[in-house]
Amino acid sequence: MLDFTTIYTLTVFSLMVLFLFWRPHGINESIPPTISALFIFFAGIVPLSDIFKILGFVSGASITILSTIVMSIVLDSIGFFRWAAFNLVKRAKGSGVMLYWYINLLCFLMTMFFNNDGSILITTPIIIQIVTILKLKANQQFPYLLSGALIATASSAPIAVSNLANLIALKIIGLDLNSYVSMMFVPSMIGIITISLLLFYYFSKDIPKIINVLPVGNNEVNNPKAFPTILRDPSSKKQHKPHPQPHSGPQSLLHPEPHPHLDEHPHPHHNQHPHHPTPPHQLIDNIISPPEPDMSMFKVCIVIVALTRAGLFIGTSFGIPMEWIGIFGALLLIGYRWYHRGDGVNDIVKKTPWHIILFAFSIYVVVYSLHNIGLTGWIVEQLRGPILANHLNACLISGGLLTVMSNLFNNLPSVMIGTFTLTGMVLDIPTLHIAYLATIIGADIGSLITPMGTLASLIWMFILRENGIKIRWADSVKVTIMVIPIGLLISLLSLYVWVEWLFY
Amino acid sequence: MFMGSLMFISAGFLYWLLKPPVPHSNYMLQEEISFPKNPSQNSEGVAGCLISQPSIR
Repeated sequence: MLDFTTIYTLTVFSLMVLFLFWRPHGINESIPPTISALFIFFAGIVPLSDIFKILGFVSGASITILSTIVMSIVLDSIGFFRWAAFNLVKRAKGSGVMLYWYINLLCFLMTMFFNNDGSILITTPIIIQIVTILKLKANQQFPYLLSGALIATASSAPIAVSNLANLIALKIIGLDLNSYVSMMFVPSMIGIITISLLLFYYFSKDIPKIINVLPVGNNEVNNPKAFPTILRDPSSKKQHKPHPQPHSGPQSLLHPEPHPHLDEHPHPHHNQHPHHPTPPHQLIDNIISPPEPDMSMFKVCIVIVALTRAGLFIGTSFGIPMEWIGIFGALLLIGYRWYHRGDGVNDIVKKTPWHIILFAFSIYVVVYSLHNIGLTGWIVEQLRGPILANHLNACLISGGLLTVMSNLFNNLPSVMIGTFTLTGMVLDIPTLHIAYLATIIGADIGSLITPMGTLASLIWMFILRENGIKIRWADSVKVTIMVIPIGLLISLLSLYVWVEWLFY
Repeated sequence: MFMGSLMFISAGFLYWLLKPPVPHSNYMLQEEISFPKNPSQNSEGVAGCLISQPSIR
């Protein structure tokens, strides 16, 4: 028989999930969890002592994300994204397919070097710049944007430090970083490659075979004097801005409306038969005038970012909290920019997605209330037997459980519940490790079905909205529901085979 | 160690991916504008002309 507290908590939780998916009048995704958290807190289901505990969990993640956001804003202000976008377009040499793979590779590498949130914050503006430079039609932009976001987030599985969710669980389970990589790298890479291939197949009709090319050769491009005004469209001069917004207003990618910038001069080659390609058109108009970043400032900023990243590892091995190193790096960047250009912190305060921090905290409170009313104990009771039966069961059940939980209420609190559940089951070490690694695959890859699954996906949505690109949750889910479950299953089966074969 | 190596390799690939690509001499028809270095040496009195020339003949 359920008591009043359980019924109350489950009702609040169910309403929160309902409103998160429904989002009437397009309300901000942080509003349902915030209201639910207030209901939970005032009912006393999560006491103040637990709130402080949750603050401890969330503050580290939030500060690390905030410091990366600062880095991203500073990199944007010095022209890094535009510079990177130009180089990627040039590298693609007129092939939309090559551009797809380069973008996927960029997102993968950026997550390996930073983390999933940092990667989204850096690669999404680059991809937006690319689709803007190439004047792609709305439906042609979507494959690049979505595949980039999915690969950037899924790529946090191979190494533990690429995702805060991995680190939370790693501490509790007691696996070291190198053991984690040796067990996880191959299975998760198989999953990532599968997702990338499936996305390519899914979008094969939308990805343009031929895209416009930029003149290769840095000297010509970076020197505006190399392009005399005789070749420029005089009318385009008025449209040029140093950091142009790709759209003048919100635009739905899958339900495109006529767009002055994108559809004004549709490229004639896009609809041609792939067996009869014609040479790509060379873009030399003033709308895509080449980037001219302040190279001295550019180099210093890149060095600060790289050193901060290296400092995260060196510092944590000396017991310095990761978030403080992130803050130090961010302050260094802000200080250097202020010294060099006199820019304050106004743009940083305005551009930071504060509501995502609120979302993370609120949803943690709601999920913690589920833990307090006995969700963890109930899961332990129900799943201990099947998980102990064999390693394949442990792998599939743990991965599946985290996938469902992450898509309902985000992967950060889900990993907490998942880890409490695994430790509560008192499993033998091999089963614990394989179940934990499957949990991480569920939290990093399985969570990609809904945008709510990870903070990185929410940040991605936020960046797109800020740039006037409107992608509805339904648009994204239509693709992910076809691709992610297959990628997840292949990853979990690969994990089972890999770990059973080499480790146990 | 293993993880550090992976990150180091990733950084190397990132550098390769994002650095400006080296131009290919035989890629496609190159359109270029040529200006005489000294306008007075231009016997026809034209300041500049558009020349389309294939790199490989």
